[in-house]
Amino acid sequence: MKSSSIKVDYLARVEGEGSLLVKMRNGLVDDVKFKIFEPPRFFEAFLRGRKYSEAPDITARICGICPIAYQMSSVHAMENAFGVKVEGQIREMRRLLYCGEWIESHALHIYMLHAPDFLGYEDAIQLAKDHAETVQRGLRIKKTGNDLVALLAGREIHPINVKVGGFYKLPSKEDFTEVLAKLKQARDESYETVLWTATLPFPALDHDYEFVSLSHPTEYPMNEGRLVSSNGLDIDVREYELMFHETHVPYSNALQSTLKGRESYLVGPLARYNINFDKLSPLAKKAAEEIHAKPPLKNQFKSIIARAIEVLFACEEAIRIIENYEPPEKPDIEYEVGPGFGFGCTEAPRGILYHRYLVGENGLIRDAKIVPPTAQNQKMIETDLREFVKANGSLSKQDLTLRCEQLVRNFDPCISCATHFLSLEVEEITS
Amino acid sequence: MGIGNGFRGDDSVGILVLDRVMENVRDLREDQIIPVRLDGDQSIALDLMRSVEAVIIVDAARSNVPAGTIFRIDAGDRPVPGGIKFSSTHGYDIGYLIELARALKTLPKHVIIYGIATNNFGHGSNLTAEVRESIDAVVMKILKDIELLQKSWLSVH
Repeated sequence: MKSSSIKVDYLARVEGEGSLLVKMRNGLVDDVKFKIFEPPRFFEAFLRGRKYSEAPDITARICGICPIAYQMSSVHAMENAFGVKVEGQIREMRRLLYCGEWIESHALHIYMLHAPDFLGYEDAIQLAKDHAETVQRGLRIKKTGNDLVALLAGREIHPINVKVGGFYKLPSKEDFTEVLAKLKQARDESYETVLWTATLPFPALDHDYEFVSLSHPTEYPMNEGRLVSSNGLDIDVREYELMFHETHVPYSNALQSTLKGRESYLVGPLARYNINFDKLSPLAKKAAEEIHAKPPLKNQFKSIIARAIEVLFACEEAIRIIENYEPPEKPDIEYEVGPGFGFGCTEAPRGILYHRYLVGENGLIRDAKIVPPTAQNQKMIETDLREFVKANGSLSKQDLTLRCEQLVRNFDPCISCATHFLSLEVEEITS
Repeated sequence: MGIGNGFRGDDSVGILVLDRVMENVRDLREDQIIPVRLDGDQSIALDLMRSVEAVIIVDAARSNVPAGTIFRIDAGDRPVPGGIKFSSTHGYDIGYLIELARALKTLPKHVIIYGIATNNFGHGSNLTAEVRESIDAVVMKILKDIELLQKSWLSVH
């Protein structure tokens, strides 16, 4: 019997700390474990007893990359509990804020974290030595997203301007002048990005995923919609826990999610893109057609294309919203606080982010549940690794290890959200 | 450029040094010296460095040498030593960003980094005694650097 092992102590270019173990026995995959060993962070527990109004600012601290997603899911859940709906320009400003987060998060992942894999560089510094203008383009796009978030949310990280019912303060129309010009440049550079991503070499990986995302009747989903899947799931957000289950596995501090009656499922840009392609803007569709990337895209290595198209879309959408912006009389709406359950699910850059709260008579949170996208994708990461290693056993140990790391980065995992560094270990066992 | 988080123990030392330096350079105009506090996304340092002649950076540094030990690194024309890890809660530390700027050819001519050794990044705003005692020495060194940079600038303009 033959044995060997491949070990990578730190899988860089992911958010957070975890490890990966692939065991092989006689050339066959024996076991795959995506381990998240970062200690639990207990956010759900320490939300208990806090005021409902604190949820957006407390949960935003879960992640430095996608704090807006946490704020959005929490305010939608609270508004659901109180039976209020935010409409008009305030709703548009929330969507605009989400555009900013998608732009900054996706641009960071495309250029700084994922592209080096495809082009054979150790990291973005090495990539920048040979492709300085490409990296500069990515940094400009990312900064535009940062600027938009800072303008609307007070600052890029740990935003402070979102509240249940709207915002604390909204910008004037003139305040958007500078960022609007940057967004127009970012839109053009995002189009170039889409074309560039299509030239990258993609390893083969054809998987029949069950894609899960929000779906909205008239718009590419960000803040609102029903939960749908490519295999027929179509439920209201409040039915989430009837269909999605979290289980604890001994080797991970993040709960793993499964869909009732099935196993793993995929959330994130590829899922959103495949399910909601018809809601993209004409320019985003044109870019997709130009590179022959119309859905379904079933190779997760091509998630970088879906991300690039979403950046293009987010730039266009942000421009549309700003050009139509008329500041409302008040930055927030009135509502009455009352007891009850509230459910919210929005599209974080990495996929659906579910929040559920129970608020008591006094407006204090009695119970909270938060399911981040990386926790939901954990099982699919394991499934993809199993399939990929099975099909690529002939690769050298070094190449296989690098490809496995790249595969994990396809998911842009945010382990800090799911509970923070990933080490990779591929081990071949002989018995 | 003072880097740090005011609520994570000695991580605040970069910001405290920045404030003390600015108190001592009041005769400089706003277009001559720009104080920058970085307590979030450090990647914006890339943009900030692009348009200046010189940058002086102060940050807490993880190290196995005694707390309060001061490192001075001239990184304008040589790489930041890989053995020194600056603290960052968001992926890219300042050493990485300097090397990225160098690869992009956007690094200022003069890049001076002060690292103050510590391993105390716990919650709260209390500094360890050794780190607190190092602040005066770092401030004096930076004021001297500023004076030399001014002279150098004046000699060519």
